[in-house]
Amino acid sequence: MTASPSTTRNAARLVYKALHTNLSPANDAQYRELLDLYRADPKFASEVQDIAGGLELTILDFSERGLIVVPASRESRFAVRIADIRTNLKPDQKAGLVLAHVAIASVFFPTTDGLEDDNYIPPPASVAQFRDALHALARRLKEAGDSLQDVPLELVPGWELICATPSTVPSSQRATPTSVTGLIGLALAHMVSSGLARLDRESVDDSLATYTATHRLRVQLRELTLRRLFELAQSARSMTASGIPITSSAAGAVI
Amino acid sequence: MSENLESLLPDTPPETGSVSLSDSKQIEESLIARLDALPFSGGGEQASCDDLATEAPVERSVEGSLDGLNPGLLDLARQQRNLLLLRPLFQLELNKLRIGAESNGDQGLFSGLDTHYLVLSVLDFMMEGTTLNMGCTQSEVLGHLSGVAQEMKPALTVALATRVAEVVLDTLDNKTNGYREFNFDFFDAASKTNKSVRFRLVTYEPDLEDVYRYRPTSEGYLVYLGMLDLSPEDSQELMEKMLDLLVQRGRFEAALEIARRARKLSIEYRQLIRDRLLQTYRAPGSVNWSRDMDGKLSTARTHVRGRQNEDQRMEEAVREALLQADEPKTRQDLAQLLKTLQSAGVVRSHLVNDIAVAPEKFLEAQRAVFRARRPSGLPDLETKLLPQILELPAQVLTDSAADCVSAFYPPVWPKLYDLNTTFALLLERRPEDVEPEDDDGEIAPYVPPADQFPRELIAAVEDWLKKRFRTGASYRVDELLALAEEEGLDSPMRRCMVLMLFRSFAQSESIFPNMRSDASGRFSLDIAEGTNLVFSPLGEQT
Repeated sequence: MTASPSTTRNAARLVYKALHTNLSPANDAQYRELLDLYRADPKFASEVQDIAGGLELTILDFSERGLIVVPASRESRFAVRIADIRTNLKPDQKAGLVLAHVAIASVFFPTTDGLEDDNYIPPPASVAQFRDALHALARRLKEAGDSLQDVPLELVPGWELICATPSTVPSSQRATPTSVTGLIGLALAHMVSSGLARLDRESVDDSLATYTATHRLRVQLRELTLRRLFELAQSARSMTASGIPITSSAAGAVI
Repeated sequence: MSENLESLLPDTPPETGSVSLSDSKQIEESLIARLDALPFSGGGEQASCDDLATEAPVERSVEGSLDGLNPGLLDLARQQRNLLLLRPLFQLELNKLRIGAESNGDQGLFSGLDTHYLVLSVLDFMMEGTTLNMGCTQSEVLGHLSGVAQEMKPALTVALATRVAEVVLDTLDNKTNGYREFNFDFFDAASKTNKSVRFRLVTYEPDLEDVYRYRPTSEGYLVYLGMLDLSPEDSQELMEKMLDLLVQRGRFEAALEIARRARKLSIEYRQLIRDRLLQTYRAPGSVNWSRDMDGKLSTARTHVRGRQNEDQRMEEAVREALLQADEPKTRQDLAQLLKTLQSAGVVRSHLVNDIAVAPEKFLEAQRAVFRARRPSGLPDLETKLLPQILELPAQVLTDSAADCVSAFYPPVWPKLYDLNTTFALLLERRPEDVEPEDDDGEIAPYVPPADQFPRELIAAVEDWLKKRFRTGASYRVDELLALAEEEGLDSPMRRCMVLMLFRSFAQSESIFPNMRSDASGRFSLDIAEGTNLVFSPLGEQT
């Protein structure tokens, strides 16, 4: 097996392979070689980073499992949009979709220790567990908070939104964004197709199917997502503390 | 005061219709005298002095109460909210005759049916279900409702009765509004504004075995209990009464249900122990042994001991009864009971095993607490970040949704469809989606798109062209563009000129009625290219 030379072409090739989220170095000899080169040659590594930067990508991590790249910003052509998951979502459904994603991540990796520790293998979880994690927490927060029956849905906190959304829609045949179970199902399906989760145990009955997290999800959460969520929560909190009404543009500008 | 008023009456009441004039005068005088003697009329009795002393405060309090009689608007928010809980029921009753169509054969479906009874009956049924399970499944609810409907209206077929049941359940579930909460407005006197109240009458949620069941919400209970004149605080007592009623309805049924409940309790203990151990593994250090595990294990052990003796006794009694029973129904019930008891025994033995291994598994899971780790500075997702995110207003979550979602995902290839994938996508058949009905929404004013060229520019270009055409000469498009460039007309003006000239190709649309245009070859310039048009004065032949 000839070693790959440190060329621009190979650097671009490595970025190209990293873009294929379902590709694994275990099954691809060239990918393995290029990763070895990336590890061994700083000049090659720098070239790969430049090419990634030029494509509006950021390299989060590299290991024997592959190079993990993410879009550099929301405006990147490679960034996932909400419309890629489901078109024509209403505002409250978009908010619910975000919460569904965070709930799924929290069930897989409840602590940062688990994220840091590669020996921690998240136990498989089912749609019901994700749904219950989100619903139960929302209920607890609702019980601890004030009654918001009179407040319009756009102004209520996220937990009231989840409590106001039906747990499931009777006799619905596919994941519908009008219920909590549907939002979880939507998020999970897209995470599976993007290589962030894997179907652990398939079943004819969808409710019995279980899912596991992939290494990619661990890295993504650890290096990018958690930080962004933390910043969102902190900026909203600091605005509340200083008496500034939380508006979308104010919170979004910080991100 | 009432005593004083009574004392105004004569000692011997006059007979009806037989009072003489002198008697009436006497009565009148006696009344006047006694009125004078009353405290508020300033009479001279000692007691009245005391009352006089309090007269001022009495007057003040009277004035106060008079003011209180007209303080503004009464706060009736609580009554209004409770009344609004009944609106879905009233709407169903008012509109019931419009349900059904002749084409479906169910016109007049609800004629002769009391929907109030149906709704209260199904709430009662769901409440029964919550005393033993966590509610009733959809099929159970529909079965109950269709049974009641057929009792009320024997002429209903099974299909029509099921349709009735579906309509009633959909009303309670607010299916027409996408299973969202009911949302009604009311006038709040305290703030003198219109407020809205959101509520559900029933919920459809999974139980511990992930079976979806209907049960009333607290508002649903209020609807039912309100009709019973019971306050919600008495709902617990009501449920207990219902349980008694169930037991009275059939001993074997009750015993069977109690046995099932005990079996469920064993399952619940197993589930609890498993959940705690899983939580310990997922988040080491988050589960405290003495606070979270020890007590539960002790309770589970007590449960196992108690049920072991009880179930052994019951099994023996049931076997004996089975030997003696002759009636098929009784034998069937007893056999079912025996099966449940035996199954409960199996579950209990698994529970015993779980209790025995729990300490060891707990220690194993806790080992991760002692692992060295690098500080990340970020909070835990489950205990800190998710609750914080849930506290954010929905509007902030909506507007940050794009950012958050893009942060979750790796890069995706921009979609580019070729013919094959397009056809495949178009031919893909998806099952019907349950789409909620949308509100009509507000009518937004139409904002017309901005013009490509300002009016002044258009006018300037038109003037320039008219000036050229007045000379009587013929011009080609490329010639006009070259002239325009020479004279310093900028790119937008020349672009506007091209559009104007091509628009004027058709005589009916021409801005220059005294000119005619004919096609003549092609031109290609940096500003435009295409068919070259020759503009010549009308009457001239090219």
